[in-house]
Amino acid sequence: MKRRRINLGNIGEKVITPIIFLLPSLSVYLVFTFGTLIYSFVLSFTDYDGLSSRFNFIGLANYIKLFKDATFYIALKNNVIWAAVSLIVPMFLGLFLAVLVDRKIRGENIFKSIFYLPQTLSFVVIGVIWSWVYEPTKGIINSTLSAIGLDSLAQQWIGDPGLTIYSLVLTGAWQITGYTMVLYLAGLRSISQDVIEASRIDGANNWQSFWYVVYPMLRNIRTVVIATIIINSFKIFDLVFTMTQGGPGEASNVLALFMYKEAFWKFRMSYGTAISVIQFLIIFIVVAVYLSRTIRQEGEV
Amino acid sequence: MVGRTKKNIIKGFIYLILSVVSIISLFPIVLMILGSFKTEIDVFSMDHIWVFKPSMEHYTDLFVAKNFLNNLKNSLILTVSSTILSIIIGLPAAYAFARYRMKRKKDIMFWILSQRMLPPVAVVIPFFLIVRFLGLLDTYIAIIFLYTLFNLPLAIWLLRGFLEEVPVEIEESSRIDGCSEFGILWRIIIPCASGGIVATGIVCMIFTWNEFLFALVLSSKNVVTAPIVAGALKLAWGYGWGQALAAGSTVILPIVVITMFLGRRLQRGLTFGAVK
Repeated sequence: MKRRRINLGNIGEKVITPIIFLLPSLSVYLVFTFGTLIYSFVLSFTDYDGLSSRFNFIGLANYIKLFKDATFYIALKNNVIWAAVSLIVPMFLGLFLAVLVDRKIRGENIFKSIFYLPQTLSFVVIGVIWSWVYEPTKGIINSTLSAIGLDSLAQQWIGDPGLTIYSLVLTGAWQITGYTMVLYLAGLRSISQDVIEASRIDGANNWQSFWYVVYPMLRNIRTVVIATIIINSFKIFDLVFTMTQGGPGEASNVLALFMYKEAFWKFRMSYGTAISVIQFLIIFIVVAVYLSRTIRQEGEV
Repeated sequence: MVGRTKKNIIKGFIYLILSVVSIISLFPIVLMILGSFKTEIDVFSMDHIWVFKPSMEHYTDLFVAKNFLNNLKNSLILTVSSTILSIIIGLPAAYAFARYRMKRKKDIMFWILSQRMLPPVAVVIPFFLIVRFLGLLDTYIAIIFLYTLFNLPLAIWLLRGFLEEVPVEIEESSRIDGCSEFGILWRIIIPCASGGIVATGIVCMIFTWNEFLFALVLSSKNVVTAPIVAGALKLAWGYGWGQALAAGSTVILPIVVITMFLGRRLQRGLTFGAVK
């Protein structure tokens, strides 16, 4: 029988050290992310209100109630609108700006920082600014429209039930476009110039070499951009809270705000957890399906 | 000759578009900062958009009557402590991922990153209940702990990338010279990757400084952060816009300075995980 010699010193170095290095963060995560998710899930099957010390298990009652709740569908629809518009406007604009900035222009860093600035600001402050800009009687948009004689175009930007959510989404787009630009630019910079030159030698014009060579090579970055936008769209809270609190009525409500109001204003904690479980599942499914398919196949995670 | 003119026209168009977009990006922010120095009447006056008699009344109200400095102090304490904690806890983990072979490393990394993608919104109620059960509502420690928890996945992800850039040869030679694993991390890796560590720190700081939902749920009186006050002033009736604009301007000031001066570093931090 052949005995393998075990080098204890080697084990210490190769096995124990990484475990010691990893332990603080991994243990925190095991306890807290799984723990709280399970806690959330269990609570959603009870009638706990957040105040009393007693509660009963009521099975699926919260979920049944949720699926009959008109506000839930308004909120869900608004999150979907948010994702849909964000997947068009900032995606396209960000790519467009990245292509422009990539053309070895002067002042590149200044432009990049300016475009990027809104992304780094607090959603609450952005909400303050844009509520003020959208203000119906004296806000800058309506004042400008009436000053140039276009009173008819003046709108209740964040007062009209049909329009409000789009005004909010555009504010969100204003905020996130710089981020998509920076990501796309990083993607463009990682493409080797040789490939583009080769396509030029083969007779491709500017547009062709972009569309057939560069654009497909941005696939990885596009994956990241799309995933980020979808996640952000489904967890949006601060902006809506500051600008409209979901109003008028429930017209601009979103899932996160719906959950917050039910749990912390109406003291329906368990109902709130049911909402967040559904919200979690939506994001999880979208992201898991989308990302596991693309990112993990890339090899280098 | 003709080709050159055409090229110049195209360049001109590019600058035009970039300038227009810059104005759209900056205009609302500049408008807010100007507005915060206007009297309540001038705030909405179209004649006084650029030219007005500056007034400090909103800032006086905010800092003297409302003690806004205290809220800024709260934000600063939370931001600095959770950023430092995220880096201290994240560095060893990032180093382990960057250097050691381990089974299912890819899965663990993916899992860690997925933590970042999960919406904190989904766990705000259980966290609130746990913190309340522990009697830690409205304390620094609870919020610092949570922010560190939210920052860690991204911090590990970014730091791993930066640490991988440090050449292995330096480590090998110091290992031969008898340096311990912790010594290598402390004396070799950290100094070599300091730029990346700073970039990661900035990303964490911006997230923490701007965070709203958890600060809203977990604070009531003592640890209310600056963004919460800005939001509350906007939502409260009867204060007018001036104070909300002044609070907003103050909240974004440090972030604007960081973005403008450390912009390249910050963008590198934020795109790093995406490109690699």
